[in-house]
Parts: sequence; structure tokens; C-alpha cells
Amino acid sequence: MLRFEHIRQLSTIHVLERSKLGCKLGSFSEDGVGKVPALIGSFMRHLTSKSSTDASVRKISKVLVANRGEIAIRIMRAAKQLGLRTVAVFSTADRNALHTRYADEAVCIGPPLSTQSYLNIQSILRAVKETGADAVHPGYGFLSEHVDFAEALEREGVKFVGPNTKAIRAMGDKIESKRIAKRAGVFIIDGYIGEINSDKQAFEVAKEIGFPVMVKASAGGGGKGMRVASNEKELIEAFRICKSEAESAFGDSRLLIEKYIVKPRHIEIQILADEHGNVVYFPERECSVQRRNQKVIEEAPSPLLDPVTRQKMGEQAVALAKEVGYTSAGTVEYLVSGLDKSFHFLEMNTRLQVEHPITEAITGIDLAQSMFRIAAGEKLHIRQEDISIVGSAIECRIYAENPYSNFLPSVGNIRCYKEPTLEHLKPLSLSLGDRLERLEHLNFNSHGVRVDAGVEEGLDIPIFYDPLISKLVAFGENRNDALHRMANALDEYVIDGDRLIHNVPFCRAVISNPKFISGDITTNLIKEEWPNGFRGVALSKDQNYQAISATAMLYFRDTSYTSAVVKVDNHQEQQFLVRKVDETTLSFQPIPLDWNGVVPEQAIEELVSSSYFKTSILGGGRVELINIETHNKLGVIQVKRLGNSRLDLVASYRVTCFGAKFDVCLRPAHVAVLEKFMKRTDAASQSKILKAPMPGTVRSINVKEKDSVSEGQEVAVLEAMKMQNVLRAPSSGTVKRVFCSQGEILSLDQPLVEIE
Amino acid sequence: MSRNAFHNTFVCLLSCSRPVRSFLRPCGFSTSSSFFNQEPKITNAAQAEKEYGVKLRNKFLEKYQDVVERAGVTDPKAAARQHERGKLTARERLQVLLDPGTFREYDSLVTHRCEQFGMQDNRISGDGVVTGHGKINGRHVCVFAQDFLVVGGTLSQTHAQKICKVLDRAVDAGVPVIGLNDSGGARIQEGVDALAGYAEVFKRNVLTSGVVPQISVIMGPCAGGAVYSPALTDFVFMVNETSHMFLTGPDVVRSVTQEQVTQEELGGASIHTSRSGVAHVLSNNDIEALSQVRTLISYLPSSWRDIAPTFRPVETDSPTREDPFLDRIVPADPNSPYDMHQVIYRIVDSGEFFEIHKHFAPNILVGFSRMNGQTVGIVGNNPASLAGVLDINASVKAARFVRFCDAFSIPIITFVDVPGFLPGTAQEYGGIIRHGAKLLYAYAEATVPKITVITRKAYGGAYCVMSSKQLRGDTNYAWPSAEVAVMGAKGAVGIIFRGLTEEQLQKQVEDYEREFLSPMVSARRGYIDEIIRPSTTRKRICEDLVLLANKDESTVREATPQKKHGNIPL
Repeated sequence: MLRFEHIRQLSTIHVLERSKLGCKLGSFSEDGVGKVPALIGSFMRHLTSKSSTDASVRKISKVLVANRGEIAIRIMRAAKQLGLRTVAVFSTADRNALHTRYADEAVCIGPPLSTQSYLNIQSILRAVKETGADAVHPGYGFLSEHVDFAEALEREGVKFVGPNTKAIRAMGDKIESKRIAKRAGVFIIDGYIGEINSDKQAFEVAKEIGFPVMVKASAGGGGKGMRVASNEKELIEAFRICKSEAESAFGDSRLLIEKYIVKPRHIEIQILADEHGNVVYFPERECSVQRRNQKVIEEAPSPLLDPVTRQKMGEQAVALAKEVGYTSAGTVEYLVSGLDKSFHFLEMNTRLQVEHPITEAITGIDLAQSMFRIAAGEKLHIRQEDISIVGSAIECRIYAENPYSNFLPSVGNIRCYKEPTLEHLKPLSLSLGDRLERLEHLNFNSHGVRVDAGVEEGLDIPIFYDPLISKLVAFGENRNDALHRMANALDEYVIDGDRLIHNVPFCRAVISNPKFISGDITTNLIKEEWPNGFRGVALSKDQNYQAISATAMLYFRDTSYTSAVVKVDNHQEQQFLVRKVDETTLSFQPIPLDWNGVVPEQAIEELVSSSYFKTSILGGGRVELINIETHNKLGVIQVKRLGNSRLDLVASYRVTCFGAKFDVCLRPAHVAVLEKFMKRTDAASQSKILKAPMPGTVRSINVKEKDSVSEGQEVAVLEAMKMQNVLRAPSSGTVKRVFCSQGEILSLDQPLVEIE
Repeated sequence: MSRNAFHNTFVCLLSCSRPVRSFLRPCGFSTSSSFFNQEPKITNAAQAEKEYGVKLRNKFLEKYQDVVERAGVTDPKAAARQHERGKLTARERLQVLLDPGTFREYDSLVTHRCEQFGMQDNRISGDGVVTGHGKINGRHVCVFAQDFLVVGGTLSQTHAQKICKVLDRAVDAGVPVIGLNDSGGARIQEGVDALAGYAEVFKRNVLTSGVVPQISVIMGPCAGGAVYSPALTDFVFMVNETSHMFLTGPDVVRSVTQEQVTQEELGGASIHTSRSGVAHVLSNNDIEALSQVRTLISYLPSSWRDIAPTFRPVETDSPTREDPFLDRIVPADPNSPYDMHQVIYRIVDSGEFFEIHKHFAPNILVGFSRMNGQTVGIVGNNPASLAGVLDINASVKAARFVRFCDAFSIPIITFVDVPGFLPGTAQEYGGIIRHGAKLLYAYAEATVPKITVITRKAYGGAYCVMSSKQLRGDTNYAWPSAEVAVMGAKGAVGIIFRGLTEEQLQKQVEDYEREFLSPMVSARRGYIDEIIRPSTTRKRICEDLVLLANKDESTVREATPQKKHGNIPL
């Protein structure tokens, strides 16, 4: 219950906040003043002048954004630039969320569960009527590809900012969309659908499709009964093996054959279509880096494509759009072979996509704004020949998820949050000319980085929705430059909270992965490069010394000691005696963990000289972001103090850098020599209570008291964020106690089972 | 000496780190020698004389060489026994606690006077306790460390005399005193002499109380009467698993009450830091405990006449820093919790908060921080634990802390989010009235600058207790989310309007909420000085501390009627 005074007080705060926010998000308050009225002016002029002559032009003045988080803000930014008033909707879980304050008005549409709020058509319709919005932008996800929603809005006379219902319906159906694609002359994956009875028939079909082909059981799944054949001999063999495998595995020996895509890559083409039959295509986006069938890192343009293939793919996408009478923004997804660049239609997404900023970056065209213009009935303001590629852009989707544990979603409160600015790097080259201005309009800073975020310090990542924190986009004059900027941006990106785990380290690992850098990737990149799951990054010696230097310099600054013994938790075999030689130089000497105080004979291992050292304090002072330059290499190191005080004799820091995360402990030499006598607190001796790794509902408990379990045995299934997570026994033993029962809702760290 | 002069002295002392540097630098690149050989280690009389260039008379040396050389040195074989237990020796502990090379030992040649039960053949110089003074971050402290390797660290008459000497020295010099306890108890061979020794120590603990900060670190057994010395000191640290405190051990407990209990369950560090509240800080091992003591000392003034040393925050943590995080920290739902630690971290310098009694009565937080470099005592109700309610333990915990701050001129900053006192027979029978009164007394009595911020609830008697304006609060702020009232709206309306229908009641509830559940009423009456934006809290408090720095406590005291001392409801 909010009370009157309460609300009044808070709202004054929020008004102040909002004006600040404007500066932060950049483009519509003070610094944008010069440009924005011009834009609004042109848009409005355009609308009014047309409206007298063109019946299809309608006036949009207030738009409701039926979404949350970063995408809601992204769309509202576009709307504000066009001079539209904005309405946000929020569930009670999002009452304090940034998007509610970014909008001119905000309406609560129900309880946290998305089926009762963001997916609740009635509730959103009510909000539309209440606020008098004349258009609704659905963002992506939620109701963005929902025909009923678009139709309901149509009935209310409210414009749905997206494709027409016919296109949504047609493209929403997998089989129907393929049929239309084929009709439009779009390449689809060739195959023979139907029973194949003999190897002779198989060969005939294969010859028609062309080798290599994939033979698979029609009841198949999980890789069973699946074989690739690249010639007749292999085909016959594959046919026989698959048949028997299919028979034994599924009790169904029916097989089908389709074209096998060698080195598959996921590449997509963005299109824009107006209501007057004009369609343009944009340069492609490469989205092959996927985990759990979801994209993580996207780039544009693809390192694979050449202009000819690009044009062919684009033209087919346009043909498809025309065939279906498409309007607004859409994306045609292709599966492309890395071998011969042959491409095949997969599906069409009838919405603005998460990764749209990379296309905006390399073409300079604002897609979100274009959608509004199209919705207003305008003719496309760009022609195909206006669209050209300048530079290269990469996007990382920053999720609250645990990359070390199969990308399980994570929740928690964001205690410290700072977006990267890349101010330690060179700004974008002036040779980009008027593109620089376009990039600025698209919310890129002068160092080529753009963050579309829906979070801020102090907010919770709610358990109920997609755990996307932000989209981090880096633009560079060329691909190498974009990669370099992205790596630095990830290092500089501070997201910290108790228990909150995010995938920045993983993204950093991908960005510096040689395979990814080479551009020769497939959709299996993550599976192939991290076959046993991501276990963190191993730092090079230089990077290691750089990170330790940063913590040592902090320690020397705060305690005024000039030497320290530094222990790094992932170095099992040694620690370092680090001494301050002069203001900028440190000497490193490896010493054993059970050091007796005798400095070893060997000479100093390394002298690290830092020509540049700058720190900035974040998160109420517990986190410091350090820019340090050693051996002419610039590093951005995040250091979080774990102890109470900067004066602690024994100082512990949590260091995050270059995709690695580790704890560093520093203490003076005369203390370090005594440490070997201290009892080690043995993690194994601590209680073996299995705790809920995240809040969720207990789906099943598979053990009972006095059962004996072995390590890794499935103990319980916890459902959280619509995902089932198997919880396994941390060690072998007998079950001493079971704390919960099926169907119970657990909070984080609540005990499930105790094993003795 | 004026206050300011003191102030400057201690700023200098703290920032002066020369001894540390000069110790470490000369051996910077020596490769084969021990890292510590160059330390001017003055651990016994013989070395001391050597250091200061005074030649010993040959005759003396001939006669006592053996004794002098053994004094002030720990037998390596005995040391190994201590190490096996995961403990350091008394001298190693002092090595960690004090700045390198600053320890000066006294009474290293003292021996006991017992002539019975074979003790006459077992005289070890120092008699089981190492005493002296040294420096922490360049500031003097007096120390004593009981040596478990000498007659079990038991307390004899002479052992007690050594401790008394250090306590007297601390009072005379006006420096804190730190005791490292690791003792088997009274030396039973000495009988009543040992008991008399304890009583002498206790008396000095009492007389020293409020003069200089007294800190005890329990690093081994501490049983029987011995426990009262630490209990009388200001802060007690305990080391997990290796330290125990109890009046009667498990054997006696079993024979008297038939209760089966282990040492750890009876008086282990985790029990005393979480359930009994006897100890204030829990550490995992000796080094961590001593490191924590050093940190605590950095917040404290050397004596009641001094003010705490100023430690400037790193330039970037400006006293004018605003933190929008605070505008969002209080949840919209008045019944959902938030962690008051987060409020504190965001307001104080660099998020540094040295928490006292972290595991005991977590519904109230107390500890030390700095604001614009100046030490402050922080008290805060924590809604994340028991809704931040005041109960017996919370009242006692905070009352003692407030009195410590008042005794040593440390300004008190109070963050209030308290729904009231905890109801129930357990609390009433336990004497919550008596214990709650302690906190009330402590706040009302305190004359140091008192700044209060009501972040959310301030209900009923608990509102009065938590450093309200009427208890001589200097500055009282409220956040817009504050609710100051006698009780929650439902309860209040139920009493005022009996017999109304549900609907009518609901309307009255809304009226009551509008009227009282906001800081407006209090602000109109001047009970709170201003409603402030949460993000500006740090700035406001830093400004107030500057303003109140010259608050003349003697004027405040003059306003208090003359008396010998008050009678706090103990």
C-alpha cells in the first residue's frame, strides 16, 4: 500500500530523477536539444502535410510500450526522439524499474507473473484506454508476435506498431511460412518428406538433393538414428545403420533424407517494409554464437558473406516480404553453410529483434524510429541504395545467468553497476564523417560503445522474466577494432551484487577465442570450444601480473606498506613476494605457499612497471575500477574489497579482469610466514546441506530419509524461471533429513536435503 | 592541550608510516638472508642493552648470562606444540598485532615466588605473560599476551602484577590496552595469591573503563574467574574453535546438572558471539583476529581526552557524494524487508563499516565507520532481521555501544526503522522493560553529537528510544518513506472506533494513514528537523558533523543536574 504523502514525496524525487536520467541515456534532453526538435519537426510536418492528401497516414501522438526492461527503454527513446508521448506498463514486480520512470506515464497491469501482466491482453488494453494511447509497440518477446493481441488492438482502433496480422499469422506457422517462402523463390532446405524404403530409393533422393545428405529417423531425436553421408557408399551404410538404430531406439524404422548443411551458421537479414509496398533489406547479422539455442553474441556484417551472397539473400528476403504483404520491421533467418555459402530459409521473425542495434550501427539507420514512421503510414524514407555498410559492430547480450553451471538463470540485487565508456581508448576516427553523427544519434558514445540497459544500481533482477540485463554493443572502423573495443568494454563493465552471477566473463572468453576471432565459426562454437562447459578463463602471465599489480598498488596506497606477500586463490603452487621498487615499479618474486621467510636465491622474476594507474570508486566505495598500463598494455581491472576496512592488515580482494574472476589476499611478509600455522577452514568439513541455488518451486524430491546416495546422484528437481534444474548430491552418504516437499516454493539458499 | 592540537597530533601519527617503510626497504633486494634478520628485534634485556650500547658488567653476565639469554625467547619445541593446535605463540601474536619493530617488552625477568608443590624448581622468566607496549599504525598501545607454553599461561601473583603494571601504564600514558588471553586459569599451586591477583586485575579493568579503550582477545582457554577480566573490557574478540570461555567447565556442569555439553557448545566462540553476546567479534584464526583488532584500533581515540584519528577518504569518495541507490532502497511495500547494511555502506566513507556484535541480535546493527574521515558510531535497526524489532538482546547490545561512543566522544549516527518492541511472554518475563530502559537511558545520557535518520518505521515507544529529538538528538532527519506514529493504522483505528463495520473501519484506516503514516506530522511539529532526499543523506550528515564538531559537551553536561553518577537500570 502506498500512502498519499509517500507517493507525493516519491514522485517529486522521481521527477528529478527523470531529468537526470535523460542526460544519462543521452539523446533527448540537454545535449540532444539541437537535434531533437528538428527531427520532431520533420516528422510532424511530414505527418500533417501528408494527412491532407494521403488517407493512409494516421496521426500517432502517444505510444504505449507493452514491454519491460531495456527494450521498453530503447523503444521509448525512439518515440521521444519523434516527439511522441510515452506510456510504460509494469507488473508489481517492476514497480521501481527504470522503464517506468523513463516513460511520461506508467500504468500497473497486474501481478508479477507474466501471464497475468505482460502477457495479459485485457489488462494492456485497459491501460491503452486509460491513458488514451493511440499506438502500441510490443517490443520483442511477450506479445510481439501474438496475432490475437494485434487483432484486439485493431478492433479498438489502436495502431499496432509492427507487421499486419496477416503477415504475423502466416509467418508464425512453420509449415505455412516455408510454403510461402518456396512460392517466393526463397531457397529452403531440400529434403524428401516421406518414407524411404530401399537404399536404391535413398540414393535417388540423395542424388536429386545433392550430397552431402543427412539420413535421420523420422521419430528421431538426441542424435540417435542420424548419419551424414557424402557419397553413395556412405549413404548405403548410413541407411542400414540408421534403420536398425531407429528400430531399436524408437521402435519406428521410418527414415527421411534431407540436405546436410556443412558448417552451419545462423545468419539473418533485416528488412523494412512500408504500407505502400516498398521493401528494403539491410546487411546481414551473424548470430551463430548460441547457447541453449539462444543467441549470445551477434555481429554485423558477417565475416563469411561476400557482396554477391549478401545481395542474393537480401533480394530473397524482400521477395518473401512482398509475397506475404509484409509491413514494418522483420527478420528473415537463414541457415548458411560455412563451406560454400549456400543459404536456406529457416523462419521469419515478425518483430524488432534483440540484436537490431548492430544493424543500426553499420548502416546508421534507426530501426525503432523507422517502425514508428511506417506505422504512421509514411512511405519508406530510405531506398535500397541508401543502405551501405560502414565499419563493423558486435553485440553481447548480458544475462544474469551462471556460465559456469550450464547458463542457469541467476537472480539478485544489483549492488554496483557501471556501464563502460571506453574513455581509456582512442575515440572513433573522424574519418567516419557524418556516420559519427548518426552513431551519436543511435546512442553510441564517442568511443563506439552503446549500452541498452533496463537496470540500475539497487534494482532486483526479478525471477519472473527473461534475465537479460542489457545489450552491450561495440562499433569499430573494422572487425578487429570492434573486437578490441568489445573486449575492453566487457572488462570495464561493472555488474556486481550479492549472489548475482552474469555472463560477462563468458562473453569475454568468446571475444578472445581464436576461433571466434578468425570468423570461422558454426552454431556449434560453444559446444566445440567448451565441450565440458565453461570453467573460466586462464590468464596469461602478463595479465596475471597486471592484475596482481593493481591490487598491490591499492594495498600499498591504503596501508602504506611497501611490500606484501600476495596469494591468488587459483594458484595452488606458489605465491608472490611483491615489493615496491619506486612509485611506478613493482618487483615480483615467486615463493612457496608455506614460506619460511627466507627470500629465495633466484633473482627477481619480473619487474612490472606501470606507466599509468588510475582508480575510480564505485558502489559506495567497495568496488574500484582500475586502469593500469604495464609493458605498454592497457588493462581494466575491477577490484572489490572483501574486508571491512581499507586498513586491514590482511586484505582480501575479489578481482575481475579479462574474463577471469579470482580472490587475492595480501599481507605483509612478517604475517605471511606465520600463516602456515593457521588451521585451514576446510570447505569439505562444512555441512553437506544441499541448498536451493535459486528461488523456485520443488518439482520433485527423489530421495527420502535414510536413503543412501552417491555423489552426483539426482536428488531433487527445482523449477525456476520456467526451467527445470536437476539438483545433485554434493557428496556420497546417507540422507539425514529432507527439509521440503514437492510443490513447495523455496527461496534462495533454503535447505533441501542434508547428507551425512 | 586544546582539542585541535590533539586532533592534529593524531592525524600526523596515523599518516606517519616511516617505521614500516624503513624496516622493509633496507632488505629490499637481499637475497639469501632471512627477511626479518634486519629487524631491530628487542625482545630481551640483553639485546636491549646491546642495542642501546650499554656495556654489561662482566660479573653480571657471568652470573646471569643463561637467564638473560633465555628470557624473552620462546622455546622452539614448545612453539611447535602451540602451532599444532593451530595457534601462534604469545610473541608471534605480538609480531602480527604490532607494527614491526615497535614492541618494547617489560618484566621479562620476573619470576614467581611460589615455593611449594614443586614450583620452586620451575621458574621461567616472564612467568607466563609477555607485557609491554608497541605501535599500531604508528599509534601507541599497551599490550599483554599470556603465554600458554609457560605453566599453561596460568595466572600467579607475579603474572597478575605484570598485567596490572601494563594497565596502569596505559592509563598514565592515555593509550589503549589490548590483552591476548590464553591461560589455564588461576595457578592453583599459589592458592589465594592467584585469586587476589585476579581481583587486582579486575579492579584495574574497572578503573580503566572509560579512561582508555580496553580490548580483550580470547585466543585459548579462559575459564573460571578469569573470564571477568575480558568481560569488563570494552570489546572481546574470540577465535573460532581454539578459544573457549566459561565459568564452569563441561565436567562440573555434568556433575552438578547432569547436562552433557562439549566445550565448544558451552563456551565456544560461535556461542559467545551469537547467543550470549559475551564476545563481540568472531575470527577464524589468530592472524585474522589480530588483524581485526588493528582495524578496530584505527577507529578509536587513544583515551577519553582525545578524539579519534582522522583518516581521510581516498579523494574520490567526497563528503558531498550523492547516491541515488538510496532513493530506491526502501521497498514500496512497507512490510517487505531491506538490509540496513546497504544503507550504511552507501552513506559512510568508502563503504567501510566495522561491525560489532555482527552475529548477536542482528535485528540491530552497531559498529564504527568514518564520515569525511572522522570516526562515527553507527546504530541501525535492521528490517532484514526480525523486521528490525527491539528485543532484550538488541536493547542491551545497542545500549552498551552507545555508552562506549559517549565515553570516548565518538558521534553517534542512528538509522531508524523499528516497528516497536517485540511482544510476548518470553520478552516480558525476561525483563524487556528493564533492558529497553537501558537503551533509552544510554541515548538520553549521551552528550556526543547525535544524528538520527528515520528511514521508514518509527513506532510507539521504540520511536522515543531510538535517539529521538526529545532525548537530546542534535539533528533528526526523516526520509520521505518515514512513518512516525504511535502504532500501525489498523490497530489504532480499532481502538479509537470500536464497533464500526468493516467498510467504515477501512475508511478510518485510510484517514489515519494519511494523517500519521508519513513524516509530515512530525516535521510540522519540529520533532524532525527536515525531510531529506535519501540520496543526499551522506552530504547532510557530513555537514552536520562539521557543524557539531564544536558542540561543547561541557555546556550540555551543565544542563544536567549535579550528581555523583546516574543509576542506569542494570
